[in-house]
Amino acid sequence: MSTEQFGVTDHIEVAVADEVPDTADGNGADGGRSASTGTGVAEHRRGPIALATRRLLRNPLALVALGFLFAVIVVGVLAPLIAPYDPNEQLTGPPFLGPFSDGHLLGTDDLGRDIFSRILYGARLSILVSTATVAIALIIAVPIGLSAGYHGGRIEYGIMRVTDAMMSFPGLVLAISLVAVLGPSLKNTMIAIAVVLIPGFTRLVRGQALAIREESFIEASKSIGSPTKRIIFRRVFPNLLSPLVVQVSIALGIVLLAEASLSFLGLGARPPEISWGAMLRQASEVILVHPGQMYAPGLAIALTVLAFNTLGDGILDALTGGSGARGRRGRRRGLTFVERKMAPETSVAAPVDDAVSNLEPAPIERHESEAAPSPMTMVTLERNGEAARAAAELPPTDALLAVDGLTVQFSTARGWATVVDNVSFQIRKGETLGLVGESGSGKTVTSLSVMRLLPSPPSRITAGSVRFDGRDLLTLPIREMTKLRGSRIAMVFQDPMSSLNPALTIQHQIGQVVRWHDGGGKKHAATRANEVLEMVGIPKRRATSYPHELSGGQRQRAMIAMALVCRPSLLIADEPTTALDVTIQAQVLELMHELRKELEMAILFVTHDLGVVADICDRVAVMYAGQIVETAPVRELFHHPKHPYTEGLLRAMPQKAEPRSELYVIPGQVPQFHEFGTGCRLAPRCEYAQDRCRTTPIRLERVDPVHLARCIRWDELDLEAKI
Amino acid sequence: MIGLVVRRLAAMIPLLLFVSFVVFSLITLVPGDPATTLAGGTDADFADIEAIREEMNLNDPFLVQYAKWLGGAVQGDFGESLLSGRPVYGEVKRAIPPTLGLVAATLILVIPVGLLLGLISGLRPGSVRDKSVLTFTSAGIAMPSFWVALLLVSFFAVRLKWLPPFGYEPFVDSPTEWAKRMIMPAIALSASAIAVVSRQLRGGLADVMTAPYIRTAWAKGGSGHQVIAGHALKNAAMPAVTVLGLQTAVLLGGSIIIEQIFTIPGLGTYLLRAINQQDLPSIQAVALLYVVINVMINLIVDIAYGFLNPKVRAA
Amino acid sequence: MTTSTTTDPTRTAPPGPLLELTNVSKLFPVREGILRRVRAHVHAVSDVSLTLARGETLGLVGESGSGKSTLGRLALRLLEPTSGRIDYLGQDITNLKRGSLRSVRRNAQMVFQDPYSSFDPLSPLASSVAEPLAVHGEGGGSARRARLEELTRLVGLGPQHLDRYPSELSGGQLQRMAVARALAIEPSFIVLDEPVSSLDVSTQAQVINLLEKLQHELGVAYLLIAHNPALVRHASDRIAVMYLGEIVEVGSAEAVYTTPKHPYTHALLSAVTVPDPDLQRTRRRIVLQGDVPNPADPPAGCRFHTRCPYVMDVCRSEVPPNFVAADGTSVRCHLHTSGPVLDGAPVADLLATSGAATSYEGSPS
Repeated sequence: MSTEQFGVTDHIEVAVADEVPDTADGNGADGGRSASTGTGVAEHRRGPIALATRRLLRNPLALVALGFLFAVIVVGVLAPLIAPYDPNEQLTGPPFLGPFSDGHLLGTDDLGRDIFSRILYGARLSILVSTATVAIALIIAVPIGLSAGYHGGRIEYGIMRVTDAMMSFPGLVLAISLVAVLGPSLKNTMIAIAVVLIPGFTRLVRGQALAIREESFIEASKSIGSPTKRIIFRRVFPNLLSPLVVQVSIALGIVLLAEASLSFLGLGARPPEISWGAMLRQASEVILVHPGQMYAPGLAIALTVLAFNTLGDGILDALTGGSGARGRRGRRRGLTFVERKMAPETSVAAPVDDAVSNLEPAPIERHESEAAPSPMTMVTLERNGEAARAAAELPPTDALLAVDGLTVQFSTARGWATVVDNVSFQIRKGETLGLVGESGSGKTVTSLSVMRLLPSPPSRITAGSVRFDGRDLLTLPIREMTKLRGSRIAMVFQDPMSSLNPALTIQHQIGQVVRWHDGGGKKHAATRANEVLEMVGIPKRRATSYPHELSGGQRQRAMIAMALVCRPSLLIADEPTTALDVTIQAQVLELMHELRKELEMAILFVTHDLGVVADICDRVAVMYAGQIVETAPVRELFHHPKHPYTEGLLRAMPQKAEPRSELYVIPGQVPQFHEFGTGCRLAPRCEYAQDRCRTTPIRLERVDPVHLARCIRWDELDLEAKI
Repeated sequence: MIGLVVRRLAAMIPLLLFVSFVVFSLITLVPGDPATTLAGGTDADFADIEAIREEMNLNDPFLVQYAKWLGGAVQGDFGESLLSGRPVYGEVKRAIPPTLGLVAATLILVIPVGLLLGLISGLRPGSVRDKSVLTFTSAGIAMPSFWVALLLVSFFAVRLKWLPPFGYEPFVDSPTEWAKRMIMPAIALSASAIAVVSRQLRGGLADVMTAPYIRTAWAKGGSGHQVIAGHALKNAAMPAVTVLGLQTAVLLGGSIIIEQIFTIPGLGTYLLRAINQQDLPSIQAVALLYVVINVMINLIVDIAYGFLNPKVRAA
Repeated sequence: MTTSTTTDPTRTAPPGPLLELTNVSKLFPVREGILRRVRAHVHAVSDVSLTLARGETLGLVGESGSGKSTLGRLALRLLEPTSGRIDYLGQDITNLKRGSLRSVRRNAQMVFQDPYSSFDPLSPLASSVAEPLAVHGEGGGSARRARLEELTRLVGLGPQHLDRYPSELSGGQLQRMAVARALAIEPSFIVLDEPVSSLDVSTQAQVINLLEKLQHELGVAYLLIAHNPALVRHASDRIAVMYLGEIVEVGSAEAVYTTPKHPYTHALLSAVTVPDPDLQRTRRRIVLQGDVPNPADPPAGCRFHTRCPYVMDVCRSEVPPNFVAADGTSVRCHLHTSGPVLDGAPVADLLATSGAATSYEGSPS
């Protein structure tokens, strides 16, 4: 195979196959790796720092804070030019003038000095003290922290114990004691505050360095033979800088407050030095008579500290790509939002009669949701009616779950992206349906949509229905939905460690399901939990274990026990064996074989592993780029695939290939949702593609009564020959 | 759980040893000859200087000085005040209850109010009430506690005359009078801690609500109340509790200034007077006491944390 | 700094294996308490002997916690072995210090599991891929850039990818960049630590093909660490199977895969699923009970005895000897010398008579 097979030509402009659609939280949908895709080469050279800077500059609050701090600096530097009076000149007017007096914007103090001029000069001192103190602390803390984090030898361990001990001093107590002994002065104040800051900074730097050291790129540098100095300065230090910047911004505010405190106590700035804290000290002495004296200096301190903190928060948001409070606005809890109007972009992208039911007739009458019927909704109805008629010739079966025309969108930086597009499938009682696809295919989003577990925002369901036992789950209020979840429909997730609550015992977590659905006391719940744990092979004595005390295999068993405790008729298993070792995967598959028989439940088995599908599924639906491309009974699919993508997946498996031979490769990579063309979504990667594949929407065609394929060439291609 | 307490107590011994050493070492920072400086400078009486030298064992090697001082300190003997000549401990002892009372009153405000505000904003992130709380807490963190104190005094004491502006009444004498005089100091001291705790809980809730195990709880059929009370709160509270521990140190530091403003005869007032009078034995004693109080409060916080986090309990 | 032509020992090619590990062990101390006393040791790698020949691929399979990644790092001397000896081209490198290690480093490189964390997120890829060149003082300015572009072409990417940041490339593209970086100074062997386990099936095949192509062209040897036996079988000349820090079986890929002689190998291979429902549902699957024991407290005797379906008394007390079968496979199992005395026959021969292993027939649907 030549290098073209690696798809060089295909994805020069294509950037990342976004993971978003396959992660349930959808947080990545508007950030991270998708950020720079498709914007053209000119805009491509954006490092993470440049991106963060752009995000920061788009945050109005942070900009205001930045502007304010800039103004404080300018005012401080230019104080002699701006100030209307010499700050120490007495009796520039009568003492104790209130604010907004003639010639004295903020009034005068006890000695008749102009408060406005003094505030301006105070800015100069505040900025100077803050920056100098933080700088001193950093100069000492960064090397210690870096070395403690990167080398972590005995000496560094000792240093860290010392910094821990230093942190048990109340900061201000230590600073005051130091200043007291060294003698009150501004210089000693700065030294004392720096001493207080150093342990915190050291710990922060050490923690970051420790984390960075664990990254593979550091090990890569080591294996290359890079000298330690180079690794520390070129790799560790730059990566540690950004979290440090956040802390520095906040520390500047802390120093300002500490300096004001010490000056307020008379230990810091002393006349003729002008500090906002010292001004408050004077004001406090006359508070009973002239309370107005303290407003200006206090406000100056508060606003400046606020600006430092806001800037710090803004930098943090910019670095993590989070949008703080704004991004989560109106989050609905625990129920995916359904907005069943046909979005215009969907109607373009989706073929007209895509809603063809693949096995059973779609229900003819539709209970339309509360959403006001718009013309677009009428179109949807029309289409579904057509689909129903087309499918009506097939023998009706008893579908337990019937997903029909399900369309799910995610909100992204580029607008709404259709991540699951017009997906339909059915599961009979006791049947296991495999939902197969690579990351980004939409399989996980589909499985989460059934129980409406996708968070809204960023997701919404815009079309389709999900009928379970004849009821459309998309119309149910959360109260009804919670009755079904965990009792009639249960779910097992991929990563049992993060999917179990670390703070509760497994017995408690399983018992909750019983109590929430069947009622009964804690004792009854615990008994049921122990029974079902025994059923999955976890002995009674382990029942009161916390998740972290169990092995990976045991955790997934506990997860399964939790799903089965109320004997659901449908189990949705989302990559339940992916995180496990093969021998543990064998245990779990074996268990699911047994339990499925015993409980007569249907399973929607989501996986990327065709070997697992071959093991456990009765029928298979293959997804690609948000669409189902092929559905068939398991033997039919493996032996007589009718879609080139299925063929490609089968041929790419190393189990199938001759050892040391070249593996079959589907060139290129999964397109992102904004790259879908009007035609077949596989066309750019398909070796059988013709011009007509790229221009017209491809419908799911019926190969035989139980086999559907989304390929217009299915009957002319001989795909089974090559697998 | 008992194991955790024992381990924490055991870990405190080397910590306190180290801290006491740091506190004692303050003497080495005194500019010039400590005895001369402490006696009042170069024009001090030679006999006075010698007396101080003797009293503070300054003729011994440094480590011996420390050992003698520590030996006394564990028995409550911090030497004699250089000024009054009375034992330091006797005077310091009287300053402890007002400070502890102030800190307790502050924590009584911080814990419920901080957690409540955190819940209010964390359960509906992005809502109007969340934004109001965020605005309030941003201000709370930025305003110096002593300025808040001055504002409270000028409004409630000077203008409205609802509360006495200064003063202190021991709790045992009259709980109501104590409370009346503690309201403003406690509010001033608690503002920033309330803000920090509530923001931490809000952030914790926001993080936890997107955690996979919360999705599991929804999938199990939990109602909003069941998911939040049964799963989210406990985990979201963990970082808030940690932060509460860190905040006690800030509170103790802030209490020095607050005591000064409201003329509460606590450790802070005592410390500042000792500083003005260059009374090193008193400074050392008070500084060490602050650390002990802080470590004790943190021990309680650690135990609370152990209740929330099974991993800590076991490890 | 020296140039490649004068010091690269592979060019002068003395006889013997490229890399030889002899009785190598690695213990990680478990420290606890304030005094950080060593309470226990994790036996990550125990008494491992292995050779790697020029231009071959040695597959290393085992489950998580088996010590295969540690072994890979020991082979590169990224970790210090607790005991044992490591020879590179006949030269003992066990105790080499930093300076002398540099020359080893330029001949041995590594590709990591997670492509995203393998590259400094703040540097454009050109800087990361050029790091070996910079460190070993090769080329400069336009010559270095030309070399970088040549490398990216070699792994099927274009020069424009060099100016991007790691976050702008897909996992598969980054993994190819990682291969490019590893190849920059023409090493004689590369440790591939789960190079494709975080990639999708179709991307996996791309990277595996690339690695094979490069081996043909450049004669580089691979130590391929993976948990998927099917993948290792496909890509390796020889396979070593690890369990709890020990190599329990090593031999030609064909022999180990088709006639496994250690009960663990047999169970591991039987657990690999086959993408064929008929085959998958009719073949025997040995389901091991329980989990891998704690490596800080490994079982006495044969480390596999706690989960072995054929356990005998001798297994609980005595460490099994290394048995070399007629087909050249080395296996550490008492079954070949005691009890039923397999004497080099595959474990599957036992199955007919044993009730310890479970098998199942899938229900046709």
